[in-house]
Amino acid sequence: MDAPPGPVAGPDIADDACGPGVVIGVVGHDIHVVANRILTIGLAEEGFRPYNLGTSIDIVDFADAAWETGARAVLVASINGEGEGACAGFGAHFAAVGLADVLLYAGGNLVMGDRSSADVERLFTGYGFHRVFHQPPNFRPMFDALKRDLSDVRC
Amino acid sequence: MFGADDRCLGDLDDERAQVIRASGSTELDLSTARRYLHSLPRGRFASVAYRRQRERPYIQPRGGLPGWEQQRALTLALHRAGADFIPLTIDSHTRHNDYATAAKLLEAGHAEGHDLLNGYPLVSHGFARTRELYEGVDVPVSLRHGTPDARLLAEVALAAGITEIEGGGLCYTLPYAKSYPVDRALVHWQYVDRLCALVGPADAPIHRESFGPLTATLVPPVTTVVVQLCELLLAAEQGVRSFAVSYGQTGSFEQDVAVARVLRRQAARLLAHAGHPDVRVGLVYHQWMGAFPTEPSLAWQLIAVSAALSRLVGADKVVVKTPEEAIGIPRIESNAAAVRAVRYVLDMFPDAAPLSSEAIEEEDDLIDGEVREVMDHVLNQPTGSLLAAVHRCVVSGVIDVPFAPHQQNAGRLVTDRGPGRRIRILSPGAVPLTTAQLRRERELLGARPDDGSLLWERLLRDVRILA
Amino acid sequence: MTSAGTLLVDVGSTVVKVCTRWRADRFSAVRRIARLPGVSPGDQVSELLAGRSSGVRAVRVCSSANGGVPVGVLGLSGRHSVAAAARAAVAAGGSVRYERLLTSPSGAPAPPVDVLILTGGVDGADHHRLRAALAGARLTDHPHEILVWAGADAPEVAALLPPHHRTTNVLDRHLRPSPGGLTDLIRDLYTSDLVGRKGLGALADVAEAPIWPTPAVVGLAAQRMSRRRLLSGVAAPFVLLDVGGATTDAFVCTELRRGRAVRLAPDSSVVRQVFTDLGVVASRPALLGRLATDPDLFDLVRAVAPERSRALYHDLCEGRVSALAPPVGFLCCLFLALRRLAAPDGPHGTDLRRAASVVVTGGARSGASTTQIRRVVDAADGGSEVSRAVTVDHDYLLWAYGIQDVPARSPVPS
Repeated sequence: MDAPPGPVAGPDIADDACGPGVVIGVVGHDIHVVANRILTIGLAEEGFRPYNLGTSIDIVDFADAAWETGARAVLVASINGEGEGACAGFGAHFAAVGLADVLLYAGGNLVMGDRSSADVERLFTGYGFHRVFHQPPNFRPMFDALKRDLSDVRC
Repeated sequence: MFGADDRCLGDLDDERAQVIRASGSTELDLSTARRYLHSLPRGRFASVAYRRQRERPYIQPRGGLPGWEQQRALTLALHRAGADFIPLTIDSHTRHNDYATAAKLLEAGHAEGHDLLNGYPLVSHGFARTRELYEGVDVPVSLRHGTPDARLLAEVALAAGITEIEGGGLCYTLPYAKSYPVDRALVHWQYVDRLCALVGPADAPIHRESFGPLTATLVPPVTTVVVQLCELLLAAEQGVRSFAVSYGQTGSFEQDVAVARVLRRQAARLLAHAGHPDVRVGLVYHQWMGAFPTEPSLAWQLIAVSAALSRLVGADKVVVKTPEEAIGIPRIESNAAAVRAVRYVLDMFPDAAPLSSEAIEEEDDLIDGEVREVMDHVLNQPTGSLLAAVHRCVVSGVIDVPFAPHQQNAGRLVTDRGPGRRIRILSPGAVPLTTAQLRRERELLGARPDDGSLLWERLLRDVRILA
Repeated sequence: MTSAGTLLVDVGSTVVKVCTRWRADRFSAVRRIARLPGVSPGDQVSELLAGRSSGVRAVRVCSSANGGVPVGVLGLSGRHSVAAAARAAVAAGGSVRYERLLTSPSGAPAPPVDVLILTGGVDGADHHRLRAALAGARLTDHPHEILVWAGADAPEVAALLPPHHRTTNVLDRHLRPSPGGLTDLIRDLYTSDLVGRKGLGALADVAEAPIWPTPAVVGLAAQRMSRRRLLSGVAAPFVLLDVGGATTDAFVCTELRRGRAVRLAPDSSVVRQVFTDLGVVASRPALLGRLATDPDLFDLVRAVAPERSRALYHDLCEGRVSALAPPVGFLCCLFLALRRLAAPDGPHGTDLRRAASVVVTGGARSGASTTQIRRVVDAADGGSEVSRAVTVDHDYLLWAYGIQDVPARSPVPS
């Protein structure tokens, strides 16, 4: 096979990538991984090193992945509120296993039914998440927040 | 190409007996399907329909409801509306071989008066009762599911007089399952293919169809075509003599036409090369499989345009969507209305001439070359069998389906939509395209859009491009 | 492929199995010969060979003598690197004695092992947590003869380690398991280093393929059986159980595993699980201890010996060794292994009800009838009426199928 022409902007973690590592995954069982995959591509494009765990991921998977990859942040996605129960106690678990320095973000359609964003934010902040993005129209606000929060991380 | 080593399954009867015994069915035996199919009028055979001359593509809706009475009502409504093929769509518990849960939910739903299943639990209903669904129906019935291990499902379907089985080891595993091992799915589909080859009458073989839309999310033409060709060759190897390759509306008219051409050309070439020139290949076009507009008036436009496209690409059959697609499982009336609407559109141009344009020729040329390159790679794997070669190519990322949830799918191929909404390969991952082909893909993608958008933003928009 | 016969030999702790392969998938009957006390396995097999030279052109040997290579795993996280490394070692026929985390130093020193696998990290990632964990690791608490690094490929990480063998990371760049390199290395270590110590060195020189551990050989057959029918009546998905003197091995088609237990490596669809306390000879004391306290003991005795279930119940409760006389010990191992595989909250999460076949092989069967075995399988599955096939590999064909497939030269470790 011939080498591809010139540098190609792919979602693969490029060999020389050096941005902060970010672990992402979906709690719950949704088999539709399109958004998750686009998020991974977006993270790479925005200068991060993404590690996508896929669907049906629990708290231990996330924390263990942060250990293995040296990730600075973990993005927990939930679709259709399925993950609400799985998100409780995230902050406490991360602190208990020596990962208190890891940023915890929650995003997606985080709860069932109609609840105000402020309510949802309070709920998930209570679980130990640093930032909460309930029904975000776009990934942009999250990427911008990540960049700000991780601005002091150098590789 | 490959040694005859692993081509055959060994003694299929032995395994069939075991699959049937494990189902607990006392009525089904090794010859039930064969006997019934031989007694069935030839009009019920998909392969016979495909051989007939016709002026327009056949029309096939989708549809599966849990209860027998509901499914009977759906079947008759679709038949009356003029569907040329009647669908039987299977619920997701049965697709995952969880027959006990399917049976339980069927019963519970009946007791509670509302549906707890998203399709017809064929194994739970059994073949005898399912035959009765089709009393008075004189057109073929097609099994639509999404099952990695469809051995029992196919046994029951064939015994029920269903003469078209959709699916395949790749197309029903990579987009539908997260962790069902691909090698085993291929082995189980080998069983289904061989079963289909064995039980049909000589003059009316059982028809197999592959599912080309895959994840229906920016799948590049080369991936679609390669998956179709692999499943065609695997089926032909087991003795299947009537097969349809398929694909979903790409969003680009030029690519739709080009894919149809490449599919037909490469299918003929590879079948001849593999020593199966007698296999009859049909072409199936799926109406837009991506997100649908919620507004009915817009959904109708999409269905109409999609119907016209199926005619223009020269499809033998079109699989029809409904105006309630964005909402959920369509109601019977809505499904029947879609069949009538598509029929109306197709009858507008009974004799469409093949289309051509510079852009179509360009796409045809590029896709054809890419497909040759990848298929050469598949067929030259140093393995003892085609099945092992296909499996190896999935694991190594030579066959790579964008946005597939399966853990064994490489997920490294990246695509984008370029001018004319054509799907372009941005980064090939491990798909073995030549430098010239990748350069051409880049050129056709053109300069980056002047809105300064990033790939992720375009992808996010693309998911709802027609919604 | 040679046209004349190839002698196939499995050297076990108590028995040597021998048969001749005439051509692909065609074998003579398997003979079981008792191991001679005081004679090294290598010498005993050499004698056998000397008496059989006519019609035999080559020899292939595998060994389960003294169990698999004792292995310890010390890694960065339980779900990722440690899990992947343990699975790779088990697939190679290794016997994992412990799995520990670099980050949670346990007070007690670990039991000595032949091979200590250190692992953690992802190639190309930020290794600050890995480096900190390695710096704090106390290798002296983990006595071993050979150290293997199967973690991130980075010079600054390797520099923290004493001399070691190195193999490809058990995690790929995307954090997926990638066990192939470590599996090959463990098998090669067994072949090159450990075979000599087990008195098989002379055999290694005459065998046409490397001497593999028997479980790895059975694993080859299981993988092949998952794609093609080898034994009549066996279809995928299956569970294959191999009950031996020291351990019970299970080979499970991965599609039978439920929910989160599943993390597929790109190219493996049958996984091996080992129960080191379930064996009819070496593990008999452990087995007795387990049985006496097993909550399902009454189900078990009814299935194993319906005609004298109460008597057997009391004998087992009292820990009488005589209660395990053949074939009871074997049937008990089978029952416990299946129960553990199927436990919904257990680590294996196997959905036995969806298994089309349960296959039983191994030398410990000693007189158990197919009816008895079937009854035990059904009882272990909660007395279900599922009509699944239960097949007994009476002729040890799986072992023979597997050993004929061992590649003549195993891959060279990096």
